[in-house]
Amino acid sequence: MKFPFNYISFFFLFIISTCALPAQHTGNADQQKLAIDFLDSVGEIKQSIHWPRVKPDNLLQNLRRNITHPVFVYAGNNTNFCGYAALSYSLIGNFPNRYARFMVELYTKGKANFRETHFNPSSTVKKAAGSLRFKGELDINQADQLWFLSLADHFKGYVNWINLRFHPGDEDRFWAATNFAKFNRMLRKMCDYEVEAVGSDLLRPGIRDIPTFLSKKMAENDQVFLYLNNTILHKKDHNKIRKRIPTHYVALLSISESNGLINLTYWDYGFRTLQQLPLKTVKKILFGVVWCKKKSSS
Amino acid sequence: MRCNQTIFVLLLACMVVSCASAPKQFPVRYYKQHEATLTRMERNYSKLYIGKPIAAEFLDNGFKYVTIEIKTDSLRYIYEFGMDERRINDTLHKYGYDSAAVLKLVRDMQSIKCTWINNLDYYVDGTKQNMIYMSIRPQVLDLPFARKKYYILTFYKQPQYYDSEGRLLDRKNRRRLRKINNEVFRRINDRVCYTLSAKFR
Repeated sequence: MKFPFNYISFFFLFIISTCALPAQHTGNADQQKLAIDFLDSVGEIKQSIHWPRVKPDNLLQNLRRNITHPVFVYAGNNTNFCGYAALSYSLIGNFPNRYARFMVELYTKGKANFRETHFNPSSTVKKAAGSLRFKGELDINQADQLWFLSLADHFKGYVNWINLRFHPGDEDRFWAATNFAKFNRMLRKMCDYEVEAVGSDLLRPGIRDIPTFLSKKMAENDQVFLYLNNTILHKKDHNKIRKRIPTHYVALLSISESNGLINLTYWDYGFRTLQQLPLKTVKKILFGVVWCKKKSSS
Repeated sequence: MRCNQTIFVLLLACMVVSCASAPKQFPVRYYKQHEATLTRMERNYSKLYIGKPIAAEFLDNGFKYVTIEIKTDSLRYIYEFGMDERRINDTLHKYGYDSAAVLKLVRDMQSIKCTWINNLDYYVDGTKQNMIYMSIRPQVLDLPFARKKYYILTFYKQPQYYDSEGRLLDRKNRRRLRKINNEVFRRINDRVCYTLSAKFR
């Protein structure tokens, strides 16, 4: 009789998926309350002259939703906003009050500081925010459009050099792309994190035991991000020849190994996903790991 | 020398033929040919999706392994199963799906080479609407250098608006083309559109 590994792995998977998910951002209830209180105190906002297509009621509604449910932050269909979305998932979850104040100031004044970073988005970006279409739920989340476009306009890496100025449609192109160094720089500038990373844009990190390494980083840190080759993680065609480059960022929520399969729980595209992958595939798709610890002062 | 030249010309001709885009009437012909199965799949999938979101895909060339995405309130689970594995039944049952209906849908997908079925949200004047999105991988497009290898069919609940060339429009008044995954769609009938795409989702 064949030993029922499949059934055991299924029940194991079910148990870890229901019990072992880390309680993300639960220590920030006070911060969340402060952020919501701040939005309540703001009351109604006038239509901004800087962001003509972003409606104030939509902005406030979207901000409230993000603050209470950062897990729903959605980067949109076919955009290159996944790096900014992964950053936002962590940032809004951990620093909702700062996020709310920054967004309201950026909307009303057209420029604002987030920690020491000064944002003054270009006029083309200001005109485009609120008008992105055919991106799924991002179409109706005008605060997210404003936020992602402002981040992409401000932070630049070498992948953006060929397309530095925004033109309509550039949210899907190199203008919005995020290389590994840029992602780490954004985390350091925007969050009160001690950020460490291993990996690169071209070569995979030489991690021998990936599940143990990632489990250890999860246990020791507040947030772990993975930099992955998305053409294998979320296949979109049947081509045998695939680009061997990373294109996607996810926030890691848990990892375990059973019967040679890796049970990976991660956040991306406004969802928490649990996916079983062979260890060989994980080795093939993993190009970078970033782990962040909140600074004691924050 | 002449033999080499002939081989070169033949290879070049093969590349040109396979690079050429498939005639646009192919998906329409395909739809007509498989209309009964497609309509049944649409109906079954709509029923399944209500209250219990699910998506299915075939990632292998032989259509032997199906990947099922099960969406709950807190988590999306992605499992891969062999088509003859018993585990698929148990898993679907565990999550409260009508396993017989899902298996019927998956077998229909297999029979007409449908690689992906999903429910997609889109927004009209800020209001959420949804459609059923199916990707077909027909043999006629399975050529080595062909870029667009999939027929994409979208099924709407309501009749849609089209321009004089049969292209799907965003809204009645604005006359703007509606794009889905950056592709322009064309009319098959009032509720069903198609396009050719390099990606199945």
